[in-house]
Amino acid sequence: MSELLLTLAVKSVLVVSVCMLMVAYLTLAERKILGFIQLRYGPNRVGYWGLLQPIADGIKAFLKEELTPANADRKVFLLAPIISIAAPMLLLVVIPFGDTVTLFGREFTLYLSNPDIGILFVLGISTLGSYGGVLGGWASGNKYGYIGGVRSTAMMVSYELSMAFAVICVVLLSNSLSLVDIVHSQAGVWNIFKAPVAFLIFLISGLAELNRTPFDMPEAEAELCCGYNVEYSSMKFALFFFGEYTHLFILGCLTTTLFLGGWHGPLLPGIIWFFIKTFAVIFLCIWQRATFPRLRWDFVMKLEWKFLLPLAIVNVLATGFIVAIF
Amino acid sequence: MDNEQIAGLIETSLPETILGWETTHDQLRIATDLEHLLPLLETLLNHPELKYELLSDIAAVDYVDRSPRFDLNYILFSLRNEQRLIVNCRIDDRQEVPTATHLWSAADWAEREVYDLMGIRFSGHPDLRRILTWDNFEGHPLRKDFPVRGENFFDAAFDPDSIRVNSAFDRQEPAGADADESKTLILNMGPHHPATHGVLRLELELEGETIKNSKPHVGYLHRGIEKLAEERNLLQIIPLTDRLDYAAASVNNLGFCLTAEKLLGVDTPKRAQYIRVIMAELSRIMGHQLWLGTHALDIGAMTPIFYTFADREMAMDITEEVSGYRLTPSYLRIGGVAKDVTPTFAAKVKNFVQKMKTAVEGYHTLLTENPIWTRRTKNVGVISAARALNFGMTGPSLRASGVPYDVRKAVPYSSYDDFDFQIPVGEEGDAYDRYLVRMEEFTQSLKIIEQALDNLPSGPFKTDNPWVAAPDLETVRQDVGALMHRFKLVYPGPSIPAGECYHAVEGAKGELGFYLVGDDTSRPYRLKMRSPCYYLVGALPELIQGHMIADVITLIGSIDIVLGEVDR
Repeated sequence: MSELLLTLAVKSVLVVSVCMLMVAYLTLAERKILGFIQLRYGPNRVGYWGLLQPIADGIKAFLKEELTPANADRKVFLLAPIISIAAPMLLLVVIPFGDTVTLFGREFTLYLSNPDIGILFVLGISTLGSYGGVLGGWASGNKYGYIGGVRSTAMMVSYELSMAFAVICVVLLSNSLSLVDIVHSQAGVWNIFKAPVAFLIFLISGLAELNRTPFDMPEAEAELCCGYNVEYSSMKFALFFFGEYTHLFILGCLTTTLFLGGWHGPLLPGIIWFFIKTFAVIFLCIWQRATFPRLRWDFVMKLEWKFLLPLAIVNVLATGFIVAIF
Repeated sequence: MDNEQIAGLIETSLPETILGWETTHDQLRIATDLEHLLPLLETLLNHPELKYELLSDIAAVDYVDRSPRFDLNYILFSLRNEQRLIVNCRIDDRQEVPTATHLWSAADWAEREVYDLMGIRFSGHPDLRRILTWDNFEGHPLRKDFPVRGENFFDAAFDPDSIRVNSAFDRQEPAGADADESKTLILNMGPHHPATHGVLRLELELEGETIKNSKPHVGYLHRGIEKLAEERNLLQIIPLTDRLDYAAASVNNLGFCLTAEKLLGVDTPKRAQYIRVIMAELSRIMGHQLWLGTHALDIGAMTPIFYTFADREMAMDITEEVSGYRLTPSYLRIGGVAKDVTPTFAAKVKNFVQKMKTAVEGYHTLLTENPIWTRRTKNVGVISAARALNFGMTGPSLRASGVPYDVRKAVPYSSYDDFDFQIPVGEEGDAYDRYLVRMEEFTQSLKIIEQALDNLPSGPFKTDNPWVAAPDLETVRQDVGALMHRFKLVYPGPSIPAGECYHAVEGAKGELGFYLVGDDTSRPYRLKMRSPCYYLVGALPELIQGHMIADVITLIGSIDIVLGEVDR
């Protein structure tokens, strides 16, 4: 029993620290990639090739003055960044980074947990993460924050639907709600080939949930000057920021798990394949951020309610039909 | 029609109203009195053969020792006759002038400015508040009895925190239980906001995300350039003009130099005119590059700004090559330019033109066909040609509505009639058309630069008129007469003859005009600057009405304002 606990503790620490380090370097990667696209260098002053930049950013965020607006709702104001980082970190629990490996004559699973309802857990917790933005915007006592919070609410309500419908397709195809089983079922053909429409819907809804361009409504820096996090400073802001990147990382992991065959791949070990695919998805997200202008608020809503959602429903029906016949 | 015919026409249609007319510096000026001012303006606007649809500006002059004390000069332009007219009216300190806001919407902001800076009241004006100074400012700074240093700003007793700019909306923000009654939210956008292109402040009345009503506040960058100019000689004013539209500085220099030359009666050699054209078009391209980058950034496309700035750097290099400065060149002089261009300059300009041609295609691939871009800009901020003119909009923003008014073609100056170029005109008058018009202006400006450079005449780069041109330093060392001559021209500066004249050039943003009044001293008695951006901001509430918050940003970008020019 104690051995089991020890294994679990070591694995938890390992997953959290490795993933958080990756997320930290994701900020550097984003700035570097944007830099290359935009004819500039990106950070290159701290450490070789800017490699110590995330650490410098972290130290800076810690040392900044902490401000809480006088008319803010203090408790909720404090709670919001915690929610926004905690929810995506919770999701790390169910991400299957790889299959089992044998070390010291023992078998270890490369995931912390494999609940039978894995995918429901993911959908539930990731929605919870959106409350960070909503509450932060409302508690700030700032009109820009308020508008950002309202937008965040609407985004949460709408894009969650199409995302869930896209996931249902995957569930239908693999006959299981467990993420590990879903990956196992893709040993032959990846889900992206079986359900390309669901993949697109999932990716678009995922970007919208992440609040990334072209869907970065709640924080559109040009119009709302950062929206829901406008009043946040110091570590509280850093938590929002970090939460967003963790969410991006999770989106990469989930897309890999659900559609790109998880750890499956030739030659290289499974875990390496997993991260290659994850970072490919993340690169796509960064790339499109550099390319597209921002959509307008009403277009974003129209896109969801008039296009994505009907498409997702039809897609579920079609997939169900095909699964039932063959 | 020439000036005399027009004067005759006005005299016959309204025989009693005008006191007299004259043509000075190629410009028709008619004088009237306060009683007949409004009927005259009304006729000028509505007469089918006159149609002065564009109210360029209202220039007020304070003759402090004279009675009646003030001169009001309405500067009008008729697109039908391509002719400019100045209506002069003398008024006394205590008299109220009937407002012209129902004739031209542009008069709204023009009259507010006159009221703020000169203290002339307009009766019937819907919203006569201070505009460039703050609400509890005391005195009217452009009056001659107002000191240049200001009244008390440098006293220890002056408290900067006492400065108030009140809300333009009458309503109070309801609090507590009453909050339910109010369905709208007042949102202050600016003066510190990433997308207002400087220190513009907009008060938006929102219902949900839709704008019910909006009021712009300007003046946060007001440096009193017009007042400062009254204490400087012509040479010293040139750097001040750089700081109007600092994104396209040379064209401001050109506007001022041409105005001064017109009043002084100085001719510029052909070579200088061509060099000036190259610099003006170069600055127009620089201004448009800045606009494109920031406009795209506002709409969320973060990459174009880096591409445009990389190309803008080449234009900056060229400016530095000729003048030594990058942003504020002050390269032009009265009667010519500061020094002749070098062969390196020609090579650099050639290289720039070549590279820009491909770069403009690149800008087009980034945005023009992008579905998100077209969705964000098409049918946003549509303004009809008549409304745009009525608001005094000029430049690309007016041309996008379908009015082919470009000062370079309408009233050519500085040899612009030598060059072959087109005026791009839009159809819809929406943000997308304003974008397309400016994109085409890149190409046309490059074309002008190319022609000017290929046909650059040889000869002097500066006039030899002894009233403005100082002898060169070599002569000064040999000849005491030349020394005195140079000293007189550099220290007190050239004398400005008594008289008034208005001259406009096509700035990067629109009609950039200067109204210069001389009184036989070396300092201008009054210098009024007609800033195109000022009137563009005045039209902003009409553009953003009924749109959403995101469109406000699009529209501020699409009219391309520079707050240095708005606030002066």
